[in-house]
Amino acid sequence: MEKILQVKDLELSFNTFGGEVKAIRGVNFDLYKGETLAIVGESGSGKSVTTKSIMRLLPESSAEFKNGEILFGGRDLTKLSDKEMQKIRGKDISMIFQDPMTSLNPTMPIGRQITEPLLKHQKISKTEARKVAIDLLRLVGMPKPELRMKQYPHQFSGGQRQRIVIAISLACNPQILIADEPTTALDVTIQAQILELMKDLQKKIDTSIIFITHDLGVVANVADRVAVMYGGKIVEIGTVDEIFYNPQHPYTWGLLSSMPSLDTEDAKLYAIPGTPPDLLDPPKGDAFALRSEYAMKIDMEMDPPFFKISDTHMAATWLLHPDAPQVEPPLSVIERMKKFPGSRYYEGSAN
Amino acid sequence: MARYIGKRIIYMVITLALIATFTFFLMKILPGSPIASADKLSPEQRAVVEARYGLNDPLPVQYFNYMFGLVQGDLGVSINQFKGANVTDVILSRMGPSAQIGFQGMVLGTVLGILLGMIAALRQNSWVDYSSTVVAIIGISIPSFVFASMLQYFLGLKLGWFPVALWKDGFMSSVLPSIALAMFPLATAARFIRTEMIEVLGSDYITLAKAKGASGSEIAFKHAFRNALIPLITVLGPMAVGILTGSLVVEQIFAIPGIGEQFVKSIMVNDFSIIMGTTIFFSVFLILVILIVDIMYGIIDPRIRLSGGKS
Repeated sequence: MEKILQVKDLELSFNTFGGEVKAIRGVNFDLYKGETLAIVGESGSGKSVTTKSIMRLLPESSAEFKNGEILFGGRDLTKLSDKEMQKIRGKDISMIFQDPMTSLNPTMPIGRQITEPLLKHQKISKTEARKVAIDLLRLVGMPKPELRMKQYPHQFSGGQRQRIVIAISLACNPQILIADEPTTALDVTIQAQILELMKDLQKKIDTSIIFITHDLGVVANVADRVAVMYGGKIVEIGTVDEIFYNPQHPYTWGLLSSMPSLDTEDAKLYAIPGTPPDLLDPPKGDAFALRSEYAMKIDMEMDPPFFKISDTHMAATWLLHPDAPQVEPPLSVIERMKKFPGSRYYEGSAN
Repeated sequence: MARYIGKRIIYMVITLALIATFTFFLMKILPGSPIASADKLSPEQRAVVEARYGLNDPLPVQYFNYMFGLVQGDLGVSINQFKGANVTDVILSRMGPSAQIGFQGMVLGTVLGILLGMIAALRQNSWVDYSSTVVAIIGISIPSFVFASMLQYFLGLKLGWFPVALWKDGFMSSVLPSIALAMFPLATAARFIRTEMIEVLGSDYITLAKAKGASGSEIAFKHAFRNALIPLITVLGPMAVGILTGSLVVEQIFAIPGIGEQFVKSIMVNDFSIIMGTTIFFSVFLILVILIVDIMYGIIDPRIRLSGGKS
């Protein structure tokens, strides 16, 4: 599969009054053509910062690349000038944001907001751009697009606005679409519609999607592969089945256990104890060790490297080291693993 | 829209009636009369004058006579300042210079203020930003009469670029008073635009515009500017008041034959009908400004576009 984007050893810090906040501490991943990669993790894990750094949308005054590169089309995005980035933004890489209620300009008709990237990046006339914009609105399922071009954002509902934002992001047929929690601010029924729309559109225009979310239900629905982030690092990455049915990192176990499911019999919902690490002063060793009941001595001392589980599946935990003791994952995770061929709890095809 | 404006006009009439009533009785409460200082008049002559202007009628009669005239558009005649001249004519003849320096001051102040505020916001925490803050503080804290005298001294007397006072050289005469009047709107606009631009530039739709590939200037002018203007419109009303009250003083200092100068004098000599007429004129002006401001809101911000009498 063709790699369209490579993030290598990315390290990024924010310079604040309190000191240097190490928001991304060595992130590696590849994005393949046409796939959907979900990045999951709790607030402050660095998932949004990672994608915003790909777009270079972080404030230049405080955010600073410390190390690593972001390779796209043979170029390192961390090194491009702002002028060069402007040519990539909205054309090759575009973005959908979390809150559709605030991400459209309230004083500009939506038609102009959709045609803006077209006129910016493509040599077409205003009338042509208008036609394309109407087609885009139709594509994202907006009824009567011709009439709605002149309307302002406040005349649309939240779901409709997110459709408009999606139309804007797709205007120039980007190679990469970054969706930063695109459904978080929407109510559940609209969420499902927007996810359906995105899946549908991806098939039509064959773009790669980076989908940021903290909602594992959404991940299962849209993703091909999943990267789990914690404390500014990716701790586990694999296909969606591998992450959901053969997770290896204690943090992934915690995430999955804290997801309510229909089979959960005991009424109490599991929550990972403790709080995320302070990235102003990241802990030594495995950042999750302090919250993990599986932590070993070495977790407090040394950062775990990535251990390969399969060609597509890697996790950064000392538990995978040959010398590590065998531990029992939480019960709900074992239940999941029972369904995964290749896991040590596999019970043959279920049902 | 038409219904909305109609409704507003009714409110305007009510407001005006209240203002006229208040001013009328306030004036009557104050000691003094238009002919108090006319020592040369014999008691008989005094009685004749008082009878002619109805100054001896009972207060309610005077009030209703005045209001009746007002409804018909008759502001009465000047008692002593302009000796029998029609008040409307007096005001109209005085309007030109006032309108000119007021308009010039307002335009100069807002345009420069907006520019200054924009630059300050786009170059936040740079020397441009700090100097714009200083300019704004000076503009707000130095009273217009001090500033006017400084202009007269430096630009008028020392450099001789503009006439020091009087209304004789057309546009050149209007420059210094316009600058003096512009300081308040300039300072206000600069502060408002700076604060608002900084807030707007941090909003999600600006990030989205950036994500579309818009350049810095496109973001500032196409996306941020219009949104940053909205709160400025709110202070346009108060700014117009500032120009108006400023003009009372500034016209005195520059000896400009405008309404402000004439208003101040009419108060000094107790010319009732001129005071009344000018107050009403100013009130109409301000109420109109506020109406225009409300309509402008709708033009700039589509979210508060007025429709069919509903807000």
